[in-house]
Amino acid sequence: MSTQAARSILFTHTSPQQGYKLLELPPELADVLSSSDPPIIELKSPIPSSLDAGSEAQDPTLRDTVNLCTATQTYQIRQVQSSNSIHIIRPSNGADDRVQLGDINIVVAGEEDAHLDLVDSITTIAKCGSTLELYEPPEGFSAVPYLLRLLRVFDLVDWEEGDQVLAKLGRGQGSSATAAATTVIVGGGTTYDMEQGVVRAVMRDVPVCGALCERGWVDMCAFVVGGRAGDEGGDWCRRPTAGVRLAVWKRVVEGAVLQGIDLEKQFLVSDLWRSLLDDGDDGVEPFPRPLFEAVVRRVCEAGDRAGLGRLFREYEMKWTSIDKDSCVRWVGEMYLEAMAPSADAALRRSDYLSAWKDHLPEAWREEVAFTKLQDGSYKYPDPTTICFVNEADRQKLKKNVSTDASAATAAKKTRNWHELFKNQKRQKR
Amino acid sequence: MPSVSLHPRALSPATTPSSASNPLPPLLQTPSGLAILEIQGTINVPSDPNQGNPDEPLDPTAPVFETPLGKLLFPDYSPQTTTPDDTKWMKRVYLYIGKYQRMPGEVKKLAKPLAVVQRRPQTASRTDDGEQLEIVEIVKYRILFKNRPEPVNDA
Repeated sequence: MSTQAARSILFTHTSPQQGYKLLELPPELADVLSSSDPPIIELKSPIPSSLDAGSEAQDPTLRDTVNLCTATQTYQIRQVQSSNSIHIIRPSNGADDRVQLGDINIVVAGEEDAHLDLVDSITTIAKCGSTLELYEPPEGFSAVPYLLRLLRVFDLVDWEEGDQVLAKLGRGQGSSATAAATTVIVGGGTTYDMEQGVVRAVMRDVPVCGALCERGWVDMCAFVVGGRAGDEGGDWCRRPTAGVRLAVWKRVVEGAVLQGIDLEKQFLVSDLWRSLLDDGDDGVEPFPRPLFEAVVRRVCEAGDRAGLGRLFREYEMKWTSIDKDSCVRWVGEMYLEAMAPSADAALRRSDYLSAWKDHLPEAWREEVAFTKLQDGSYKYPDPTTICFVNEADRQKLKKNVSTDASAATAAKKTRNWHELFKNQKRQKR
Repeated sequence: MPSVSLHPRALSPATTPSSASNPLPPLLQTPSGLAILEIQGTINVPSDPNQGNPDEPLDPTAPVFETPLGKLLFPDYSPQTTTPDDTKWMKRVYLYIGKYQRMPGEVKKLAKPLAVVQRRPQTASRTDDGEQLEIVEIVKYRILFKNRPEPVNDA
């Protein structure tokens, strides 16, 4: 036996035990955490849905989960039980002072020169019956369902009748304070910081990574109407309906034509804003400037749309240009959402195409085609019509697609119970 | 608040008593000294009446005591002769429980590294920050005993 050279290590149990959890790290996360400047990670869970149970209870995307979020990555955390006991051990100097020698003799009786060998000891300080696994569902994550729930809807009626929040701040329609307040926001300073604070407060309640939060926010053209330092966010933010977005966009196109601004080339955002103000109305704003900026932000050119920073670092928009392809698609989908939200309200396809063209700058009319629309964003309820498919229905479709045979056979091989019973759970629902 | 921070480093990193040298082979050593040992089955230790909820932070004044369970042996590993790139020793580890039982096991690389996470200890200066977590260590190997103990005769 080669045990002669090997050392025996005394193994002990420390009481009281400590509370540890074990978290399985995917390689990319392990790399980030082992780097010299590792980021702080957020564990985010949605606001308990018991507050407004009902419609949300049916929506599986909003079920109570905890997500682990880095700046650009989101993982769902799930607990995996183990039939083994996993001990966390560490070296101990227990043999010196805490353990009586008599005990050691019991353990190592029969071993020669036991005392010399057993000066070293390790001790178990915690036992874990389960580990936490990080899981990326095939359908991915989206901030949209959470933002839909957190943000209040903004309809043009709100603006025309003077939204309550806006009125409180003296930023109601047409008042001189409106122009002043919005200038402050654009110019930076405390109001700008406050607005950032409001957005960040909302993002804290959205259990996905910052990049996805921002993408959801930009995609739905959400904007801040006001706020005070230390306020919790949701009440101060609005998400415009498709109708509002369409109206704002139409106005943008008209303004650009009037002032000869080529949207595809670099232009000053403040020039575009000025072009929208009616001369006849003494510069009365047709809608809040933050809403206008949210719409421009949605269609403006950006290298990486998923990237961070569009909302925060580059918040003050000065020069920008509009990305033709994504804008054409956005307008098409938005028009469909506003005018034909369901199969009952389906539009005739030829009417739809010409209305779509009418909402674009003259030079872009030729771009219009059904192939421009994102797959799954529309359907043909009958041979001549078209209507919109909303986000929730799209998610459902996506999930059904992922339940294919290969996933089932892969699940059978795994010993992971989450995978093993996933398909059965689905059938029950 | 629905958001909890997980800090990538522990506030007070060293959990190892400084006087204790790490007797494990270097491959299993980590900066904090923590390692993972997995056993099929459980170790039954008489329950301690003072043992509170393991999720609660430890009361530093509570008496800490260690109960000897057995000994751990890396029969093919020797600090003098085993070279760092030699991995043969990993195939054999013994855990003796008491006098008459021996469990054969091995050292395995984890498919995915495990982060050991704990609650960040509350200090007097920050008590109202809410709950915060921290990663104490990232462990890449485990000592795995997946078989039942076998009887040994010490005669």
